[in-house]
Amino acid sequence: MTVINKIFFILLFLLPVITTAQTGSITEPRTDAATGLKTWSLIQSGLSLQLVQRLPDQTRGFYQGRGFTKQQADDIATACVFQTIVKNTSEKGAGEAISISLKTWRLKAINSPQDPLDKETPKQSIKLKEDWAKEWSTIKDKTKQVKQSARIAFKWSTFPSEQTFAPGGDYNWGMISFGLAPGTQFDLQIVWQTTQQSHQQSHQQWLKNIQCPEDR
Amino acid sequence: MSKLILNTLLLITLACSSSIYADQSLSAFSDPEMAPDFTLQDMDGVKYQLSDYRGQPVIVNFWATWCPPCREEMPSMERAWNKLKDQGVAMLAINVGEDEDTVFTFLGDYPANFTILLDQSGAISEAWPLKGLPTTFIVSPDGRLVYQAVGGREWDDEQLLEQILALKKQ
Repeated sequence: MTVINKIFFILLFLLPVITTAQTGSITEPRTDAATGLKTWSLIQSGLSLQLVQRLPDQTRGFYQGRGFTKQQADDIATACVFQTIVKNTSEKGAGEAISISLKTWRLKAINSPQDPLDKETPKQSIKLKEDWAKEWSTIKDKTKQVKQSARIAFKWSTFPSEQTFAPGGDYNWGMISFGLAPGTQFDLQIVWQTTQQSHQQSHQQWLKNIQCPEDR
Repeated sequence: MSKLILNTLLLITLACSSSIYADQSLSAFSDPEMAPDFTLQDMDGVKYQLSDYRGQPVIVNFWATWCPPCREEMPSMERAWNKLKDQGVAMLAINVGEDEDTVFTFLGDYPANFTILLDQSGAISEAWPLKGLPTTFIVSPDGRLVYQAVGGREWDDEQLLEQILALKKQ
């Protein structure tokens, strides 16, 4: 067998591996060598999702720099915040639109020593940006109210509760707070819809053993 | 045999590169509505009104300095502007919720010769149909929202610019 034939057969063997990598599925969490922060990924049915741990100090710094008080920034930072990247990986023309609603995502804490979940209701919802805004709207003490500039920064830096991504490269970045204590491990049920020519299909997948970043 | 090898290589190349091409498209609105009009100031206090640009396509980009994909696409917007500025297309980049000093400092690192506007109260961003940053809308010469791009793009991509320039002929 000539060298060129060998290369051909290797490439032929790799073809399904390469194409599967694009349609793929859940991958093992990846750890950033420099920061030690972990990323959980899901690639399935046109959806690419990445959840990247954010250290509470990163989030504290970000929000204190945008008008939140130390206490307000601390409340957000210790609510298990992940940088979230969602992308529609399908090509324009052939692909499908993807819609997500964080209201339909559910999480299940595995260990929660500081904030144990009610055993009767093991699944809970994500703490959405609307939930934070509702909390802040009840603050009567003017010195503890959240400034307008801080609210604007929060609104645009957190992931939208509902969003549709067209095929051909639509994506978004934003923070999601899962409302769990630092260090908590949890499973997350991800739900999304694909739509092509008015035909809708619902998809779901669990990402297992995600870990809220520690407050170090 | 060599033809088969070439075809296989071509297949592999396409499989690997499809996501790159997928990144550079605009999504058309199925029922284009009028773009919400606005009047905003730039950093020198000069007022700009969207409806003043009737008769030409307008690229309206919403962004913030802290947003990584916004920073990433900014140089390509500058390159796109260099290609478009003499072709009857306007480009307005609206900063969401930040002050002049923050934007001024940012532009020291990311020079932009197109128009940068400030929406400090966030009111205009609320009125437009955007969910996240960056989002870019293309407004037709008759003032309708015809395309959008959710997330960053390489704005100097020729095919993408052709879509925008084609609006001038409609």
